[in-house]
Amino acid sequence: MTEQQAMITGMNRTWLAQSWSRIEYPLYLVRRNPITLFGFVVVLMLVILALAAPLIATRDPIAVSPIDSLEAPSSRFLLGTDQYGRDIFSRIVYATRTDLFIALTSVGLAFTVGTVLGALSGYFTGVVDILLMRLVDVVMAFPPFILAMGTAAALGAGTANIIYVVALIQTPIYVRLARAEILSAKERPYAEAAHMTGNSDLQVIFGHLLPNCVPPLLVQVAVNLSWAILNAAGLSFIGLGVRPPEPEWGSMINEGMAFMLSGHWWLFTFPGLAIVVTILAFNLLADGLRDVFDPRLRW
Amino acid sequence: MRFLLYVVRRLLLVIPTLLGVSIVCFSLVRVLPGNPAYFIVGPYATQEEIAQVITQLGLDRPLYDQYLIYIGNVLRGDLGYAWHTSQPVLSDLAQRFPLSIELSTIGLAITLVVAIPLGVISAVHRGSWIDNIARVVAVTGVSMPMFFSGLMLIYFFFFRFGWAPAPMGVLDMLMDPPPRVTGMILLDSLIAGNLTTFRSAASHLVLPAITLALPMIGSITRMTRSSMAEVLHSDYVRTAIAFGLPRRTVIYRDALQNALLPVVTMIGVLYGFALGGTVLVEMIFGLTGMGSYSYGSIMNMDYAGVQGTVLLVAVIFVVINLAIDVLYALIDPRISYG
Amino acid sequence: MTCLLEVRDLTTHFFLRRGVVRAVDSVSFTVAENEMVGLVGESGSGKSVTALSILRLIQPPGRIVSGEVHFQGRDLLQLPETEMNRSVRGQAISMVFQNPRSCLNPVLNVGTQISRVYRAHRRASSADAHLRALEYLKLVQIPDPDRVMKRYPHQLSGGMCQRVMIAMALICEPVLLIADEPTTGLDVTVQGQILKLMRDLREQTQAAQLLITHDLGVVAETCDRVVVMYCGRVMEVGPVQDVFARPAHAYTAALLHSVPDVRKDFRTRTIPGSVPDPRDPPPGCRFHPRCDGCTDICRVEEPPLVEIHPGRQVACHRRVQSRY
Repeated sequence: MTEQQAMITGMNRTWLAQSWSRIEYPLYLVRRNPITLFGFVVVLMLVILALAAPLIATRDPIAVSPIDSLEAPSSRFLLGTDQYGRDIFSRIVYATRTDLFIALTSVGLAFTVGTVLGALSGYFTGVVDILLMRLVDVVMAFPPFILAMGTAAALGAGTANIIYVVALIQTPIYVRLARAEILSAKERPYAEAAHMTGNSDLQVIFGHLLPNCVPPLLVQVAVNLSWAILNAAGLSFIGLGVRPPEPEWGSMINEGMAFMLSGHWWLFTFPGLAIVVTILAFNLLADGLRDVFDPRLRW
Repeated sequence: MRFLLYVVRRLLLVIPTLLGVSIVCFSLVRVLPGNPAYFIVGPYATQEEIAQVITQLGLDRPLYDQYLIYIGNVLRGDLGYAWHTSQPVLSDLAQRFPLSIELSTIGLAITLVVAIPLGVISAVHRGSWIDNIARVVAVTGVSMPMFFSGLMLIYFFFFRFGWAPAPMGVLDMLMDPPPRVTGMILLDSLIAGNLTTFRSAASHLVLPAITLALPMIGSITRMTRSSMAEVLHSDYVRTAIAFGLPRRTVIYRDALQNALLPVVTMIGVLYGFALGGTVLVEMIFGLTGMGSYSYGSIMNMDYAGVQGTVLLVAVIFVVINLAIDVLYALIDPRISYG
Repeated sequence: MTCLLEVRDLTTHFFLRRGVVRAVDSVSFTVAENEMVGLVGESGSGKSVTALSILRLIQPPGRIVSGEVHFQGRDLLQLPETEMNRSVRGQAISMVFQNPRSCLNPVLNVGTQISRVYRAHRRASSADAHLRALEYLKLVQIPDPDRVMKRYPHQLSGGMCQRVMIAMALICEPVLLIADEPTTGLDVTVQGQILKLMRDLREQTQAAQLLITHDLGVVAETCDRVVVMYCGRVMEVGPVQDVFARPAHAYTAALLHSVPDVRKDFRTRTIPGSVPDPRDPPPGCRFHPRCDGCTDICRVEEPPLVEIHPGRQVACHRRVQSRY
């Protein structure tokens, strides 16, 4: 890289990129908005829970024990047992792994593919851009859950398939967002400057333009993390998701549903609360991020 | 004149979209490993029936021909045969889709009636107790999965308090449905002048509609609130106040009218969300609409049913979005008189 | 000429998280009947905030902290909000803003918007209001007013939008028209048209005008008196001819000096330094860090606005006369 290119790259680094090097910035974020801190802490705890599942869960999540079936929450079984005598607490802890994994991978996949496609499409325009936009229109012509349901039914149940399906329904959002951002960014003078100092097109897109479009993309990622869990749990609920006996919050609720009206409320309530807490945490985090990048919209 | 041009352009755009939708639905069944014929006729079919389906759908022909046959069938109203109900898919759907539309519409109506005033008041009275309550309601609504909130509602309002009817069907047992005019039970009851069935249907539809509405209330409240807050700080609102226009006029005519424009576009998206949600809600509340039909098809591995439902729902969604876009063009002069 | 508007020690601050922005600090001036007064200053001098404060259009986090605005025998800052809306805003005092297109409601047509203002202050049927709106569109020299009545703001040019706003401002026959940078953002030729329109209107309506601008040329051409502001305070007041020919304040002198002169060498002579942070203005005279005639007292004590001749006031310890 010539000195000129380096200088322009340096100038193009966003305030965000410059700030991360300071320790004050995250603390400042947290101080401004305690609710976001709460969300962030909860997400962190969930990640720890997921990683340390074998250490925290008290029993084997898939071990059946017919004698203990349908026990109410007690000191022996923190959150009770299900119809097969499996410890619900341990199942929820292990399900954290499953659901977080699905959320993170599907969002990661959608984000990567969507952003790259959208950025390329927005930068180069032309026939490919038009075709891609029509394709996005087609995918978005389906109500998201219906498309997820249909595709999952076609592909079959299983964790990998759920990840692909949930990624599929999110990808158009990233494509459109990245494309819109790049379309406006490439008109700015710094884009022209980056180009003229010898950067190739790809270098301009991914080294200069895209880093400056990070804020709205980041907010979208946080929002989609909660959305992904909702959809994954929903698909598992109707039997198209994670295969039993692997624990997953949605399928646990489905199993618990049958015993709800006979008074065994703990089967469906606790997994449900787990979902609510997780989604709430991601939503609060997304709100906090939105706050930081566009304080006008602050609640 | 410009408005008509816009409508025509918008209509033309619908065609490639619908084409794409049909291709996707077509491929849904073709993706499965093995011979699609087995999935279409079900596990109880005989060899002859399988052979019949193979020729009928041209499954021994190249993919392109298969697609043409498929499209031809669809346009003639043949969406296949659902072996798990022993009926053509189209008649199953025709019977069931009004209920889902009815449920989605009621859910959407509840949403708008609750969320818009809440969002407006929050924006006008920032920081007040209403604002804080609205924030909590919005965030919890958005964070609760529908299948969970539905079950919770049943647990408390039916099981514990006994206020709601049992989650089985749309009318009380042993009650005769009104003569079918639109297929939507509330409308049909009103048309027939039968208030008992109307009340019964309403009581059965309340909880499912609320379940559908909760997440939508969350997002619409936030959206209205932020849109309204932005508009309240706009130049034209400040100008209106500067000219001494009464506060009430400014809030309703200047602020609200402009703030609600983005909300109108959201209605289309919400309808899609509601239609998707009917799969879960109908299943939980024991209602016989399109949603539970697709669930039943999935459970029974009846792919004709799944394919048909996905196609129909997508087409309805496209039509609704088209209607919303046209409506928006009507109310925003910047579109129609550019 | 009788005094129409008297602003006395007006102070408006903005209470932000990062500090208190002292946008307007103890500003005083008057506007007489049928007089055209120019309120002049750089961006950030507080001139717009002053105008907004007169009509009490300041929204949180801003607040009018103290002061008096005497108008028609009443202190506007003490009036209840409803009374302000009913009898003052749009009625006795009207204001037009810059960026006229964004100041008009995008979803209502021109006719409706103008009529609304009329019907807010007078009992009139919609037909009567419509006629009157048409009349005023003609007054502001809009061609083909019948067609324009049905148009929407986005279909009109900037100049047309400004004329519409002026029509809205005048329709209830105010005695004072405040114009906040009415020509900023418009093409130069359109600027000239709007200014000429405002001069014509002044003759026709006999209303006083308070013109807020950063453009000295505009003030020189159109105004009777000028009020020079800097960093939230009034620096100099006086008849336009007098102030521009013999500026008494170093800042005014520097401003005039910075205008490129075609007859001389057409160089721009900028004032060294930059406008201070309004949260923390310099002690003493706010202009002292940039003033090349700065003395010890200037650094310490804030100069009061004193009258050096009848009708001529200046806030400067040195009261320089014609340095340049």
